Amino acid sequence: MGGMRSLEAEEADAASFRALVEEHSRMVFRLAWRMTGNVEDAEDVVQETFLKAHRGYESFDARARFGTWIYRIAVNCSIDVLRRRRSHGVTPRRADEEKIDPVEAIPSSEPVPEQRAFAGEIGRSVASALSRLSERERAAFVLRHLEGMPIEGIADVLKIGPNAVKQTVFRAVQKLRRELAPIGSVS
Amino acid sequence: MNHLDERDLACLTPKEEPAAPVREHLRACAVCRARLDEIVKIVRIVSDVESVPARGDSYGGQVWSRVSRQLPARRPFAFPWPTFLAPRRLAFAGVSLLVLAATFLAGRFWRAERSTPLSPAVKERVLVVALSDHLEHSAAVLIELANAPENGTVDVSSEQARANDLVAANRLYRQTASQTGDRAVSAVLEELERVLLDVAHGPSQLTPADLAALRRRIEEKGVLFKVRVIGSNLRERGELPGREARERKRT
Ligand SMILES: [Zn+2]
Repeated sequence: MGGMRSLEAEEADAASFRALVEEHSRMVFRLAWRMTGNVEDAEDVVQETFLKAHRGYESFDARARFGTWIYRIAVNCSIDVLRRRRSHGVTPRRADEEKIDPVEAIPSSEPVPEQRAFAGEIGRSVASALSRLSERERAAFVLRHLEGMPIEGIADVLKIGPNAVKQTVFRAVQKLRRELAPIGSVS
Repeated sequence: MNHLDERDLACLTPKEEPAAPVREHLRACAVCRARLDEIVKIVRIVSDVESVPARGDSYGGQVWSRVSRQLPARRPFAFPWPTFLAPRRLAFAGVSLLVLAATFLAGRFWRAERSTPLSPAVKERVLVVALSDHLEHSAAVLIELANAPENGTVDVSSEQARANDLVAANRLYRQTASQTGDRAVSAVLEELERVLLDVAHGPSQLTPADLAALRRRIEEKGVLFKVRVIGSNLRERGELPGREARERKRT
């Protein structure tokens, strides 16, 4: 009887955590990809995020939304990956991996229509510009302008004040503007 | 004229309506409009080239199978529970579900709206709010027990009385959840019910060893965590931020 109950309880554990993983996986992947710019790192972040969520439930505040909590873990895991990559001097590769749009995967030296080659070049320029942001700048920019998160939500995720969020987004935008100025003036 | 703070400009997004003074300033000021255009252009360049690789409907399941392999191995039945914490059989066979539903739900949540018939959508929302309140109350009891001081015998009679109240409601919600096929919720409620019953039927004076055992049980099973997660998900489902849910509870 006791053994049966215990098994049921274990099943319940697994079932409820599984539901959470299944519900939030795609959101975490999207965010992780935007943060790291490559599939391999993003998949690592997804996995690490849920393992941390499973371990770190003491830090889960009942008043917080589960989505925000998982966001915070995912952003922090992404930041860790970016830092590791930076410290190992690994440059991000965006153009030569899994893509929906195969155009960007074509090396610019290939004889392809000018328009297409240019699209790939922009893609690489953007990837390189994003990689020059600090981890926090990238997170603030991604959360605000790609994920569309409110300033307060970003403050909550990054554990900084709303003004610091704005300052960080501003710095990110300035850096991107400098890096991407040639493209901006062409388009 | 004072121009808009560039930090504010850098955070403007087409998805959100700016505050009225900002809107008016932008309408009147070509300088700030030009600055904003620059920012919008940069954001557009980044978002236009980004193509997040698609992840299909089965992705969540794939992630789960990867993650679950790395979770700590499940423990066999090995908790050294003292006798008062041993699982008990539910003792509510004589209580009708309908009577419980009428007293609990009508009394607490439908009083204000009794004169008008409720649509199924409203009923569901009321249930979601009520359940999320219930989970919040239950979590509070578990937190108090988990944080009780460990020196000497502890009097938990007040937690016990509250646990006793919560058991009846819990059973109602659990049955509703299992009838509506909400397996995740009913599984968590089932576990919560066991802990609440143990607290309600246990001694009101806990020795440090009793307390430690109870605490271990709450922690090892992750009951508190799951109660919080389900509560949080319910608030999201009912579009009820925690603050609003708590205010509702106070009224
Ligand atoms: Zn101005």
